[in-house]
Amino acid sequence: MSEGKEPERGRGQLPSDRDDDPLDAAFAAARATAPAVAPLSSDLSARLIADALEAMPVQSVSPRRADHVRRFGILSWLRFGVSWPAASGLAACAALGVWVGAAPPDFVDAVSGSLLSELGLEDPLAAIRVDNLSDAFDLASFDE
Amino acid sequence: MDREAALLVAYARGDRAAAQALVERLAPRLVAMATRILGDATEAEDVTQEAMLRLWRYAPAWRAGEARVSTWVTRVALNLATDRLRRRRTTGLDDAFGPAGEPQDCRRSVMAEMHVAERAAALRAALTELPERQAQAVALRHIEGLSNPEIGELMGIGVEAVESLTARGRRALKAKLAGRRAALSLEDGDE
Repeated sequence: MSEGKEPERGRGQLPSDRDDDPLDAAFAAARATAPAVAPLSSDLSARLIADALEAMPVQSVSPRRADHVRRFGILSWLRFGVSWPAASGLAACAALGVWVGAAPPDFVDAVSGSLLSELGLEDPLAAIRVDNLSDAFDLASFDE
Repeated sequence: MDREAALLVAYARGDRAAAQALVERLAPRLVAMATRILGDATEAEDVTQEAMLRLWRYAPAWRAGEARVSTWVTRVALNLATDRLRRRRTTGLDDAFGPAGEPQDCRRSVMAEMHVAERAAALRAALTELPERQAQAVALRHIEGLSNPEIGELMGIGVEAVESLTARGRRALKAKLAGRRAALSLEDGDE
């Protein structure tokens, strides 16, 4: 051991508390102040948790809210009374709506045209309809 | 990643249970350490609360492998405790052993308890007069009972430096307490 340094001891191997050494007796007295692990008071525990929740960078999702999401999510409908046929019907209606919007049949044009004329308006989309585009462009010009 | 680091990451993502688990795993040891250093349970709880609060605030920036969470928060609590101890300097050794504190007519067991409390108070008062790093090393070695490598990890220094700090700290404490040998004597009840 080099001069001026204390020998290494393992954890728990404290210097002996010799009765004739007041310093070691004082160390022993300080160690006796509290056990190795002190139980938390309920007040301190509550304060620590309150601090933790207040400082939490992401607001926690409470178990109640998570349960609500689980119970009322789309897939949960199937578990709670909405049958597969009903779900299939809903999907078919959605698909029909998309189709009517993208490629409206003639009767849709007739209905919407009469409504617009009654209101004294012109169809704003008429110029860009696919059937009108064929008139606007001479596709034969691309053959050259 | 150690268990506490995983809990801290979970806490940063909003996991309340992780906060509860971290409190249960870390806080009791912090309270005990701060109580032994400060000799005051209320102050020890304040130190623990402040150390844990700093941990919560640091959680989003925590990087795996940076340090062990328990080491990090213990280091913070140690610094806070020694800071408080050093702010007591105005008390001094003489006040810790003032005549008003001398028991006159007590039973032997009560006298023994008082002697223990006096010794601890004298030691803490003497620690306040040491350079901060010496005081920390001595407290960790002789009050907390940590090994030199453990102290080195906590203080961010090598084992040789720990040995040097504790040796110099002990010598300084002996010198400061030399004048109070009678008060520190274990021959309680004879006065």
